[in-house]
Amino acid sequence: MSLKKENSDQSKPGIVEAARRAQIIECAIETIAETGFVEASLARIAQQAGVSTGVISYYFDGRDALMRAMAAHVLTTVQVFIQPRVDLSRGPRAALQSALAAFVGATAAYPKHLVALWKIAMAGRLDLYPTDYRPMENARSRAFRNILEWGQREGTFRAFDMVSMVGAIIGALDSILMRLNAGQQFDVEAAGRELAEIFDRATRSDQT
Amino acid sequence: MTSKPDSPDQKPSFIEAVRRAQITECAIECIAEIGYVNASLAKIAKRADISTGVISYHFASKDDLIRAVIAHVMDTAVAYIQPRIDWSNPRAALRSGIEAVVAYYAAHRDYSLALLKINLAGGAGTPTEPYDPEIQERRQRVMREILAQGQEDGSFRPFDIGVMVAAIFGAFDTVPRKVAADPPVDLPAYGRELAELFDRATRAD
Repeated sequence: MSLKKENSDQSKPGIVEAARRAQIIECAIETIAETGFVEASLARIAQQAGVSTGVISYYFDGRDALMRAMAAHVLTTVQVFIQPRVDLSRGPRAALQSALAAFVGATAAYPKHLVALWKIAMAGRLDLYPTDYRPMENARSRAFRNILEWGQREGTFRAFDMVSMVGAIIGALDSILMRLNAGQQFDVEAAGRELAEIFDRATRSDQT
Repeated sequence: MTSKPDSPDQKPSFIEAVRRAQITECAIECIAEIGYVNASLAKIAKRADISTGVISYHFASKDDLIRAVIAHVMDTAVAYIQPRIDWSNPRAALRSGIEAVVAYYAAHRDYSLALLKINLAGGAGTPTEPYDPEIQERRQRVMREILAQGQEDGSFRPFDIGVMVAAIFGAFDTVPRKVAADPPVDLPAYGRELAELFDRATRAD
């Protein structure tokens, strides 16, 4: 418990240390996705990483700190994937379609990451998420609500109830993740296109 | 650990089924009230006015009991919803089916709360997953039937049924949260919104 130097923001870790941290985080993701949040002890994660528990403790101030770093890493990774894929330049309909495709794409690209993240939430440990993601109305819901409100203001979208539409979108995205998690085989990209079509039809106003 | 009668394949006797149902109901009330983690077998037993041993006789573990809770809620839902479906045509069936699901949760606030609390508390391996494939399949059967019928008679467009079902049930999973919402949500209106949403998503051009 002495000479600990974990603190990603202040003390800039060297390249080797950064690589080691990243490796441990990846192993934590694997372990949680496979065994579950409760079962993913530091010992198991260490085993997966092929290091001793002591090495993990050197980089992370305990299990919660590792989980926190993992959640932040997953969310950043997914955000980096999604952001450039959301097309805000061609109006709300294109924005909604591209956002749905981007989120489904992220699910396909990072299934284990997202399952691990989801298992943290299911374990009732939202406190391990970065602050912005904790409330029910999280960044993902907000992103969709912004697009939907934009479309309603412009009249591209009909006057549906915002809460139900956002709920249906989030529920649909989650159920794609659940199907992947349950080991179901299906064409994720085609599912993304289908969701885009579903919610385009569900949202657009009758004039368009 | 010795002569336990109920492996799930073996049909329990009538009395055993009644006892299991009673314990399941008590578990639901208990979880709805004090939460998943706090609802220990001992507390559930106390509420049911039986000994913990009786619960252990009928359920192998808390996980096993929770699985029964989820199955019970889903099966009750199916029983509630089916007679409320208007089969006059696929579009009417879809709309009435969706509104019935929301009405079901609205009528069973305890069940909604219990589901929410189980979901939010569950760790991995816990049964929490309402995504238990067998239960899912049972829940989804009627909806798949409606969608397939509509595609067949041309009232629905040719979408991928698996994805549509995923979207519909994804939306259903938001309902318990609405039931528990404070301030209260207009649930019948929520049902109509979801019905309108999926009518538009499914109907042929």
